[in-house]
Amino acid sequence: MRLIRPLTLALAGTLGLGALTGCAPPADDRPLVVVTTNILGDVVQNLVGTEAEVLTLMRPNSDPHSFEISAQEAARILGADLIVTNGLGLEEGLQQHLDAADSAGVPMLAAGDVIDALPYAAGTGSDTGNTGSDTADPHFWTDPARMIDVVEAVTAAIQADVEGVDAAAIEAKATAYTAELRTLDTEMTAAFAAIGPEHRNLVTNHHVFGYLADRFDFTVVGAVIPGGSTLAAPSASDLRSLVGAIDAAGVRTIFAESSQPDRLVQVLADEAGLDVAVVELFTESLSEPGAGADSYLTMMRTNTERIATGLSP
Amino acid sequence: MIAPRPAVTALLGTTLVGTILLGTAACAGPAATPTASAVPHGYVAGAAEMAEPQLQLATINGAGSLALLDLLDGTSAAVTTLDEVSTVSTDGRFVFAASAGPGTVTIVDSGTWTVDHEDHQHYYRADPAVVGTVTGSGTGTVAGGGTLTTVRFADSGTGLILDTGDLADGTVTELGRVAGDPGDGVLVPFGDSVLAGRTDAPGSAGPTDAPGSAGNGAAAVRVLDSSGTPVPGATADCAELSGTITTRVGVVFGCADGALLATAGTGADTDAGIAFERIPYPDGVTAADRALEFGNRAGRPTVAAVAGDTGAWLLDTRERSWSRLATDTPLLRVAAVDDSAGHVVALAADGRVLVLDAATGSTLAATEPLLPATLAAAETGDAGLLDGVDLTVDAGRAYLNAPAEGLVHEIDFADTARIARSFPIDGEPRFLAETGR
Repeated sequence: MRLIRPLTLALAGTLGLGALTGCAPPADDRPLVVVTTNILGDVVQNLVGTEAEVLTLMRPNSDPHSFEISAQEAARILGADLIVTNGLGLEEGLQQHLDAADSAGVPMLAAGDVIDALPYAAGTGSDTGNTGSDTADPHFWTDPARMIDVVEAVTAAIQADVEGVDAAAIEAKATAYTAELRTLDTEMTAAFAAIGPEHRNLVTNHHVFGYLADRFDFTVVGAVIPGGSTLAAPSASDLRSLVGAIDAAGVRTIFAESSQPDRLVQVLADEAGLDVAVVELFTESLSEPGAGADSYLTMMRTNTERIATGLSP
Repeated sequence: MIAPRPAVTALLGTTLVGTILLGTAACAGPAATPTASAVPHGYVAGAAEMAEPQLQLATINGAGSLALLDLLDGTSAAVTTLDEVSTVSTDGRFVFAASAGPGTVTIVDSGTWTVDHEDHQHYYRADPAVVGTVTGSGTGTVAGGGTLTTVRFADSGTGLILDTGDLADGTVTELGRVAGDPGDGVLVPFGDSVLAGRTDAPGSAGPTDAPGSAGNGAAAVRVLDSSGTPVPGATADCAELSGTITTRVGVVFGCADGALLATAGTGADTDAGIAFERIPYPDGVTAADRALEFGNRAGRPTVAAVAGDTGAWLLDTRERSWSRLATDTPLLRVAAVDDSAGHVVALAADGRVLVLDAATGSTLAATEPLLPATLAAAETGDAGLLDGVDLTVDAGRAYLNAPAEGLVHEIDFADTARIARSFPIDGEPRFLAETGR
């Protein structure tokens, strides 16, 4: 999938004019909650409703590791009532801005600090020789139960740190959204229960499904997906890692990001005699509206449906 | 052309630039989006994140035409034409074409690159562009890969320190300038610092510490800050310095007695946060067999070097150890793939590409001779033709330009050195560089 990173907009020469916002409603007197990733931005928006303005820094279809913000956004961060981050090193490109806000005394909540974090799984989709690292895996959102923990902590932080919001209204929204997350959790549990334990293998070059695997008893089988330059004139050696992973996992569907999924399917059939489907999942960013992952709940349901369909006998 | 470091407002003027609509996303959703626009510093408009490495081969032909060959779909496009190119290098994104005569280095953004997050990678594609040209004296040697890019001109010893982020924005910004003495040497960025050294003659008196030599003293490698100012006391001896390469572990320098390895260390000798270690050669290595130039798969810790006429060296910068691979035929080029199978790919003097086993030193496979016309032309007068022949390796393939044959070969080193594809290149591919990795 080609992910065009949208232009990030800013206003030249208006540093510090934090009150100037572009879209209606203008001149927002409400408190400001800044959220780094668009996944958490959607979650937080569900918690605050119209009680506060939510400024999400990461645009749809972007990379949480390396997106950049405008000077105007950097200035607005310093005036926030609360900053919600993913943490665990995910927003490395934003760290200097987050540090500046921390120094300025802006209350901050890192979601990664309130969940039961897992160590990073052994490097998937790479032959770099890494055998996992000591650092924690930041991609907790693939487990809805951990998102419930985050919702609880964010709700408490809003009530404690954001002046001017109606605590009872926040509580009601949090209760309602938590119920939705529990429904999602129940749906995912049911959908995955239909997959036999011996088939719960995610052969993937994505690196974000460690928490989902931990929660729902999947095994992530990291695989090197041959790139376009090798698929052009492939040999069996190019496919060895992937074929080995598919054989070991005993699956008919692999969850891989590939620019040429049809070509990959054909090469696997021609060179290795394997009949497999190549399915892509949403990983680190929400999509544009209507594209399958325009909210956290939608993203999780889309991935659940794709995994359940792909791994069912 | 060198521009002074511009402020964002200076780039855009003081008036508001017109509103750029973000489509439906402009005012939708939780993101509060301002009306007027400026592209934030470092942002590359139009860059797209891709699913896999966007590998390209940059070739420069006999007429100076720089073309980019897309290895995913096999298409090719000319980017620009350059005069009198003498050497070409790349940091995996930018192609640096040096012309010794006019003393220029032209910087071309190939538009494809990889950002390495250690456990995973991100791949980008944007439009290629000519970024600009820097001018000095003689051949400019470029080193890059991080936030800083350096150019050292051999005839003057002068070094330039450029901002890599600004190159990505299409601007050449000189952050610092390093005065030096004429002659061979190195200038290499490492994090926020720069490492500099000048090659001394064999058997010379040893390190010099002349005031004002600004870190280009012979027989030593010194640490400079990003403006080119030497860090007091941060220096390490390196006699007969030749060859440098950067790995995930640190920066390697080839010295008479072995390798000097600079790492981001801690300890007493790390005034600039950089530690130096020596990795001596095994006993009994003659000067003729020492490593003079290193080749690896970008970033990988094990690097390879030609060992005189005897085969290849492997230097494992993680283990701090040398090993030696003997070959029947002398080697012209060698690069370590450093994959799980330990492939090492070499160009032999007879024009064959060999695949060596890093563990045993045995030759696993070999191609047919791929350079008969090039080697013949080099013998009969056009000696420079062979200088531009390059062997580059990525995770899956090796690439070799065969100028007089008019081809670039793609070699599957994991599959009996099979020629996977051969690309005809108009007008002799004199130089080769792989980007997108």
